Amino acid sequence: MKEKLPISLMTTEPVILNKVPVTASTVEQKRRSLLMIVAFTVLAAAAQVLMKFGTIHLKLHPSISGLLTDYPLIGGMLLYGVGAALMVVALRHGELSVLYPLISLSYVWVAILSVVVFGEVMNPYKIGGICTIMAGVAVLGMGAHK
Amino acid sequence: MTTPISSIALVTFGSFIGSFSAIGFKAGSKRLEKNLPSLLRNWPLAAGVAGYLFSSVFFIAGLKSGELSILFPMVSTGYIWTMLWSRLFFREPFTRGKFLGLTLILIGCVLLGLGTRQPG
Repeated sequence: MKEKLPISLMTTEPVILNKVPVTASTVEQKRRSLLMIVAFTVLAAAAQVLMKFGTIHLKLHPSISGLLTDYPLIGGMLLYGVGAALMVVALRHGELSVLYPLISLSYVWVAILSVVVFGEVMNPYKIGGICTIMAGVAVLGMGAHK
Repeated sequence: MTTPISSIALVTFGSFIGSFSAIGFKAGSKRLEKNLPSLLRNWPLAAGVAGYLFSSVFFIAGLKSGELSILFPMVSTGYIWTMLWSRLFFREPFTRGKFLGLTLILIGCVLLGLGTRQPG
């Protein structure tokens, strides 16, 4: 009689039943964690740009009321908070030492946004940096399913 | 626009503090349940959030002057600490892939910083 395997066991990974603790993360859960961290990097980059706008506002209005009406700074911090909540949920499955450095992907988005939003100049170093970080993220990401 | 050393120091220190909050986040995420009381009793998570907010104070202070694209990569120094804490607290092994990935990321961050200094 053919038994139907639970979804968590229908993977390419060899799973030895009695050696896997009940709480072990499935490959699918780890993959979702990876995607959530990537989503967090996008939010974090947007928040970072907003906060930079906020500090420009604060320089023009250096007062308490200036701080309270610094909507880009407040918005940036809120966005950071939402991103952080997503990141905490993402860290549940998979290794911290793999997932946490993936946050560096946000530098890639920031570097691109800095050119687009703040008019910083793109050059071979920046392009090299962006490509190298992405390669590093890819290497870590590929090891994440193990 | 130049980036003062004080800004770089502030952001680097912030990332060191931030690496500790990662321990809290990871430990806290394992205790996550869908009810409010358990969320409020989740002290590792609370410690992580506190550390995260504390580190962001240094980031904001550092980001006030200087270029975003040179200061932001300084945060990457925190990943070296995080990898160490991951082994100490969660027994995650050091692997060749992790070293390679992290090294590439660090090189990429330095390149991004260099790119910012190039005129034109």
